[in-house]
Amino acid sequence: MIIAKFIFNARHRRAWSNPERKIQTLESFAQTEIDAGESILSALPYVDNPRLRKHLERHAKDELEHGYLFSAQAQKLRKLQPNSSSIYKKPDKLYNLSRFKTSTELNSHDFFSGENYEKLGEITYVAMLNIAEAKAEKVFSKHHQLLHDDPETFKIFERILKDERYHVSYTGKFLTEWTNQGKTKQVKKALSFAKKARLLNSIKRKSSKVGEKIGYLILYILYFTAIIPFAFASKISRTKKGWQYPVKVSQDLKQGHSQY
Amino acid sequence: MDILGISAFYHDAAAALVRDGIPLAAAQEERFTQIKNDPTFPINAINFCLQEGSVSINEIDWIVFYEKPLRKFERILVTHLSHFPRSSKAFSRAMFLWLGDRLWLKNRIASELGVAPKKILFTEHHQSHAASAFFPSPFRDAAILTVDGVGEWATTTFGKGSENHLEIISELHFPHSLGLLYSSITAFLGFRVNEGEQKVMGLAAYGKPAYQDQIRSLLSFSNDGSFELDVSAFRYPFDPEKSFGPKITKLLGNERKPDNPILYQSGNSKHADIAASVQLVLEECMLKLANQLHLQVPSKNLCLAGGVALNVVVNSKILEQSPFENIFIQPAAGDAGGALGAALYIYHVELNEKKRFTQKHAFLGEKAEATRSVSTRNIYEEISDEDKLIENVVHKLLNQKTVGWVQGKFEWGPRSLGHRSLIADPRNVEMKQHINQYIKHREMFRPFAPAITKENADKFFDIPKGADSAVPFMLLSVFALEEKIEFMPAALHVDNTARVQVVDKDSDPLFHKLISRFGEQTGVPILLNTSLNLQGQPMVRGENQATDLLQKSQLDCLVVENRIYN
Repeated sequence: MIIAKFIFNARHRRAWSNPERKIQTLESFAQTEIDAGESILSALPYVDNPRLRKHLERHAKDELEHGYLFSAQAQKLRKLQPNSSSIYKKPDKLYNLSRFKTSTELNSHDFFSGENYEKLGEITYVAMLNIAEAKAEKVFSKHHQLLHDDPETFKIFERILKDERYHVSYTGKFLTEWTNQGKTKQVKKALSFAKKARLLNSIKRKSSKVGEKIGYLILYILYFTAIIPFAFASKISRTKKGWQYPVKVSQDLKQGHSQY
Repeated sequence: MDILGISAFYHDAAAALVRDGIPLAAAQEERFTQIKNDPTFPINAINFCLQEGSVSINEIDWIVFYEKPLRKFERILVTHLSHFPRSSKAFSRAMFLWLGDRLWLKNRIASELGVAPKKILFTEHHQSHAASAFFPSPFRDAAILTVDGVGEWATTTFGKGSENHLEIISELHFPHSLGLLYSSITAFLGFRVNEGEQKVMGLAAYGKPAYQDQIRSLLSFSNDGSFELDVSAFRYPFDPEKSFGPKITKLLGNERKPDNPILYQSGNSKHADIAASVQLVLEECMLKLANQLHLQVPSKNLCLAGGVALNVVVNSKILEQSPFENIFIQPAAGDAGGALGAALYIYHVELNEKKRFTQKHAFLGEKAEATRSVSTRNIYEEISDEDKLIENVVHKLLNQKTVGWVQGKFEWGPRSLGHRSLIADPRNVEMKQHINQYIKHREMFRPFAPAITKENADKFFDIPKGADSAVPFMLLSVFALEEKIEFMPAALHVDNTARVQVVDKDSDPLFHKLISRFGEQTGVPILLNTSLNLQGQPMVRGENQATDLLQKSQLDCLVVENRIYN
């Protein structure tokens, strides 16, 4: 528990550890909040309950507003560093397999898209929002505590935290109301589904990272063992210099089908 | 017949839909994801192309990927093996990627798109480039030169095209690459590879080629036009994170770190001098290649593609000094253009279809209003009368306002050609600094382009003969006429050259009308034109992204179709 807490704190401190990382953190929060806002907006056409719709409308507006606040602050800080470029320091996406995904998958805020709202139903959707917002409140609260030396960013987090508390509160109230209406079983099932979905996603992400590390290690070992003879053979062979002449092209799609 | 071309997984992923030899839609994935040079599978661009063609993926006849994955894998494997043990880190990374994903590309694409694997075809990287340059060109026959970093093995190719035939006649192989030489110096100067090359080109105008001998010593030319790089000076064959080695540092001094100041002003212009030197060497090499190509393919016409063809100064030198009389350059000359080229290659060469088209504009993307949504929170004024709208915008420009001009379909390729543009008065010299510093937040040395009406182009610029097919796409650098320099200081580079865009009434009537009206009021039928984006971001996609930019930047106003946002 202590180790987990230590890691949790260290990760949050790292996010603000230097000016460039700070900008990147703010930009990444901006993107997450905008994703979330747009995701909720896309769910609105499917919401029949007028009271819930009103809350979701405000929720979406809040998320977009948070995105703009984070983004504006990142821009402001970037101006103080005229030669900085966030993309310069980002990892090469070439090697990031997780980005090979379709747009229907979960986005970074773990909300389902509007199309899935109908499939899941309002109780599950609100339960997912509730769980996600409670987590967001916890995370933002931690970041908030670490920003005493930057009053401007501190203030932004303060404002956002207030909204996050409202999001947790209204989703919680709906869940309580449904429970009072005798839908206890459905609410419990929805909350359990939401928690499991988050857990499953987290496990998937972590397993993928561990798998990646093991994969690299195996390849590294192979490189210094099984590969050596081929490496020497390759060193002896000459590289092709000067003009090379490709084979003639056929007109029957034979070459089109070939991957070589 | 519908053919979908795809380029992805290196940089600038894109998709293009070709119906009976004519491109219906083409777009880069970065416009949809708003991640600059997004290399990921272009699912959004594909969906857009299908929507634009009113066709489902199952109705597409062929899906073509722009390079041959197995041949590329061979190159990566052999290169890493031959650099044992220095390639240990790169080997693990590359093999992890290839064994886990890329080697199974056919099935991966098939499953992503839900189509049968037999529908998926592959062309060679440089065949795709060559096809993207020749088949959309106005020429019935032409010599074709493609030069980029690297494809499968090839880095430079000579080709010839005639009607619906295209043949690569010879090629130079990795690691001997002009694209990678330029990219390595780009990295040495502290800019991001595959993006910063344009900055190096812009920076070059501020410097003197004081390091030309040092750069020239890195490569040697043979009489047959082929060249070899001194591979010992570079690390790119075995290190994906650093492309140049200690030999370059020994020749040019310490590298510039990205956060260090850029030295380009008189007194200390070291970085500009290095940029000028590599630019000069590149120009010499490209000219030699063009001359050699003309000996082998003695056509009047030259088609250019590959990332190096985005170097407008090189393109101009080739047109002016090589024996070729006419030039066409694919507007998306980089890897994105490979998507279009791959589809055209299969259609013409492998399916032997003869119907050709001539690319007169680059407006193949999504319409501006496609991203109009309920989240658009800004207040706007709608002016349905076109003349009144133009009048209003001209009035703003005359009042020294910067205007975001978002009209119709977005551009294919990296240049903003008046559909996703930031426009301003080119007569105001301070406009350059204002836009660079306060709106785009980018380096002060970076130039803007002038957009001028076709009728007036020769009255303000020294446009060479044979440039007609290149100037609509901002792909040549030309000198301003001496007596006109004072009329457009903000749109000219420090050496009084400009990456001019000549606007034709038939291709873009609205933009043409706007420039003409501005010309009627001022006597200068030119607008300063630069891409509508912020530093490090791709150009805006449509209305929503443009209104976001308006909020985030100090842009004065935005015009999306007939809506004016202030």
